[in-house]
Amino acid sequence: MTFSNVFGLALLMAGTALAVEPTALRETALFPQNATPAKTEPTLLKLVVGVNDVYCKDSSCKCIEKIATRQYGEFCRQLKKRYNIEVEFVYFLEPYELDKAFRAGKFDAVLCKPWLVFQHSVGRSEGLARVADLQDLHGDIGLWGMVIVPTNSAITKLSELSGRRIVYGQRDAYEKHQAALELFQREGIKISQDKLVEKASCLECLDLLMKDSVDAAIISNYALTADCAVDVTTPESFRVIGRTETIPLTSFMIDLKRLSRDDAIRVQKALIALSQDGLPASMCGGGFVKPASWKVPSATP
Amino acid sequence: MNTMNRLLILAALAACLTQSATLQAAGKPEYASGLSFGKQDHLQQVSSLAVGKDDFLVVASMNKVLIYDPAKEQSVRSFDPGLTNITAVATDGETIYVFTRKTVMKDMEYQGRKYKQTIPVGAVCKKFAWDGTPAGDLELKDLKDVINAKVLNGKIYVSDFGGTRSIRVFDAKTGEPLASIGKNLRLCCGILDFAVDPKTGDVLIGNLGAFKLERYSADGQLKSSFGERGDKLESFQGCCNPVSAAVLPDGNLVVVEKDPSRVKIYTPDGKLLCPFNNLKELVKGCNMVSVAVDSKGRVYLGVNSADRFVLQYVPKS
Repeated sequence: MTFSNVFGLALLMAGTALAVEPTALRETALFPQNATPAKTEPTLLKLVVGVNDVYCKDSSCKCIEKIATRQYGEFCRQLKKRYNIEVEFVYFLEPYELDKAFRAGKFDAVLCKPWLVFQHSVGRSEGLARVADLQDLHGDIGLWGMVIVPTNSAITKLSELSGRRIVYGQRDAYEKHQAALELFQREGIKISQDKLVEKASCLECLDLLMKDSVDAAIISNYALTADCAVDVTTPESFRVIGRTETIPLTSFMIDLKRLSRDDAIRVQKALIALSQDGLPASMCGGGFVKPASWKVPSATP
Repeated sequence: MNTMNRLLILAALAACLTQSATLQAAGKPEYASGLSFGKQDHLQQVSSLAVGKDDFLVVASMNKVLIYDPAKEQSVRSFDPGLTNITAVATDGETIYVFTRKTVMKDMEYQGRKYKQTIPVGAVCKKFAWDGTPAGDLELKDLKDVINAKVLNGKIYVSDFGGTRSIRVFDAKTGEPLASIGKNLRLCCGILDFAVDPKTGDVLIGNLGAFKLERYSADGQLKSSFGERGDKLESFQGCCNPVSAAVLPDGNLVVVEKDPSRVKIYTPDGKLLCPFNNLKELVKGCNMVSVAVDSKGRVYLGVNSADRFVLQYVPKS
C-alpha cells in the first residue's frame, strides 16, 4: 500500500511553520532490505518505546474500554523469547506528553501516529524511520479525515461546502488539517478564513457541529467508533460527505541515531514475523505489517 | 542631567519595579504541597471529599466516612453509614450528607463479546450529625443516579450522570426537585462533577468532552465558559478534561485534570494564574478526581493512584 502525498500544497495553504519547498520530501518507511527470515540473534537488543495507540487499553480512554482492548505484554514476552529483543513500553494517554518525551530523547522508538513525531521537520524526527505499520482491530492500517454533517443537514455533497462554516483539526493532526485543506483545494471548495474554526480534538469539533455552531466538521475516521465520542453521540447522527487521503494510523518508528540500521531491520523482521506466525490473542487481531510508503517534508538544508 | 535628577529617576524606576513585583505577587497566587491525609488510615479509595465544621475534612472511602483535623494526617474519627460504595459526601454546617447509587447488573454485548454492566436506577441520601449519629434519610424525587453532591443554602446539588446527565437541584428539607442545570454537556468516562459558587449560587460544570469549564446561573442559564484542548499550560489535555473544580474563598477557581494530572488556579473568567507544581499523579487513566477547598483557601485532592490518600495544597501567603 502506498499513501499519496500532497504535503507541499497543503502546507502552503495552511501557512504552517513547516513552510518548506514542496519538493523537499523524504520517505518515512524503512523498506525491508531482503527476504531473509527473522531469526534469533545471540546479542540481546534492548529498546525503550513510547506508546500511544488508539486501540491499546493502556493508552486509551476508559470510555472505550470495550473497544480499546489491545495489550502488548504477551507480544513483548514473545519478542524476547523468540528473537532476543527486549522492549520496554512506556504508555501515554496524552499524545502531547509522548511527543515531548520523544523530543527530549527518552526513547529509542515510538509506537504512535507517525505525524505526531514527523510534524517536526527538525530534531529527533530526522533520524526516525517507520519499520512497521500496526493494523487496527479490523486489519486496516489507514487513517483519514471524514467530512461529516448532521444527518438532517441540507448539505449532501462536498461541493456544497463552499462558503459554509467548517471546523477542522489543528496542524498536528494531519488527517484533519493538511489533508482536509488539500481535499478542499482539490474539490474547488472555497472557504474564507473567518468561517474556518480550528480545534485540537474531534470531540470539540463534534461539540460545535452538534450545537449548530458550524455546518460541517472534519474528524478522524475512528472518532465515532473508537474515541470518547462514543459516549457523546453515535455514527448514525451524521452523514459522511467526503474523506481525505489515507495515511498510516499507527507505526513502529525507530530512531536511527540511537539504533543501527541493521538493528532496526532486525526489529522490523521480528515484529512482522511474530505478527504472522504467533500473534497473541491479546493483540486483538491487529499485528504489524510492512510499512507503507509515506513521504513527509525533510528539514530545510 | 545633574546628580539630583539622576537620583530621582532611579528612585522612580525602583518604585515602579517594586510596585510591579508587588502587583505580580498579589495577582499570581502560589501553592505548595502540604499534609497527606489518610495514609495511616489505609484508605482503600478516596471516593469523595467535603469540608465541614471548623474546616475539618470529610472523606468518603468505599463504605466509610472519616473526619480529619486539617492539622493532622490521621483521622480523628470515622463512622459506617451503612452504605456500600459511597459515591458522594457533602456537608452543610454540622450535618453530613452521604450518597450512593442504587444499581442493577445488566447483560450487555459488543461485537459478539458478552459482558455485564452496572446500570444506575436510583439514589440514596442519608443524613448524619457531626458525630456520625444517623439523622434520617431523604428521598430525592425522580433521581436516577448520584455520583457527586454538594449542599448549600438549603439546596442539594447532585450529578445525575446516569439519568438526565445534568446537575439536579433539590430542596434539602423536602427532597423536591427544583432545577436541572447543564446544557449540551459532552460527558464521558462516567464523570460529571461540579462546584457551586457560595457567593453567587452559580454552578460550575466540567464539560469535559468539550474541554470546557462552564458557569451556569442558579436558574440554569449558561453565563460563561472557558477552555479548549491544546498543548499550552492554560489549555486542557488528555482525552477529556477538566474533570472537577472548586471555588476558592477569593472567587478564583481550582480546576483539575485527570490523566495527565494537572491542577491550576484560574480567575473566574478563565485566566490562568498558576499551576500546582510538583504534583503527584492523582489518578491513572480516565477516573474522577475529588477536590474540595476550605475557608483558608487550602485545597484537598483525592489521590487514587499507586497510593490512596488526600493531598493538601496550601497557599503560600
